Amino acid sequence: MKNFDKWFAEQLTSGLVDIKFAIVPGKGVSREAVQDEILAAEAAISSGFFRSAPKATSMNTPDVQAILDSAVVA
Amino acid sequence: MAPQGAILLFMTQNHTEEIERHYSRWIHDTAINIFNIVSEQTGLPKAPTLGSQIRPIPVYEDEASSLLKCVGARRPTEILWPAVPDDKYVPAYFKRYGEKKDSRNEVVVIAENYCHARFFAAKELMHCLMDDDGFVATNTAALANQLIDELSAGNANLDIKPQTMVDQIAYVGALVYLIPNDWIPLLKQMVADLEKAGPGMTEHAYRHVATMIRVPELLLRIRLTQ
Repeated sequence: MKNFDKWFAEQLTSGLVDIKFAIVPGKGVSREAVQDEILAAEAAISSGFFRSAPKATSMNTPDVQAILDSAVVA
Repeated sequence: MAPQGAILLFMTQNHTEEIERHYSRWIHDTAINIFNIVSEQTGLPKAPTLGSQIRPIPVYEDEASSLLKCVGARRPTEILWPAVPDDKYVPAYFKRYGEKKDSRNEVVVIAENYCHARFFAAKELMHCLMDDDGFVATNTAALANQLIDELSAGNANLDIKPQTMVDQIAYVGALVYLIPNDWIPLLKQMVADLEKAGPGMTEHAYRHVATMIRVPELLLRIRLTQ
């Protein structure tokens, strides 16, 4: 996999002016692990490997939904 | 510490707090303004009084208006969904290319869960709204690595740089957009009604409400109890 700093330098050449991340801190997280995930995503993008945007796959049951729908505030 | 050093530290801390206050206020107001636009164009109530009036606030969904459409009206913006299997540490990230009027945004979302994808997309879209003249921009490899290190450390490191602070403030914008202030009384009432409804409802009250408006359950808990 490409080196992160090398990839970043290429992005600057392509006009990158800012980048921000959502990172879930926790056990096992490291700079290298984060960089690897970003590079994997970028490799997929470069290769045209995309998926559909996520959609809802679960719903509340009708009895729960009835309670939610009937909630009232003044 | 030498007096000059103490004064410098004091000034730096005050300056950082001032920047944080500025961006916090700004992101809060911006999120509310965008929600108001989406509300008017989609028929979602600004201050709902009945549960049946509410549904998920559009982030990227194909509706009359959404956060993505509002952001895109200001500057070309697209969300990319790369087919990668792992969203262990990086559920999403944001990139901006080009200067000022000619710039465009890319938001990359890796999270696969619908509620998480909505939330992280919203968080990254908040960055698309920021015009900062480069002050908080992450525009060198060294800064990017520093940002990764500071975000990976969670809140343990209080001496964070402006770029990291802005990244964290974007979470606030996403929360305010997805769970507007004026929805909170009704959402709290929904939780209370479920908790009164007995076994099967009480234990998962927050989850049921989170499912209804499609936000992560933990974030709904934080928003309703903060």
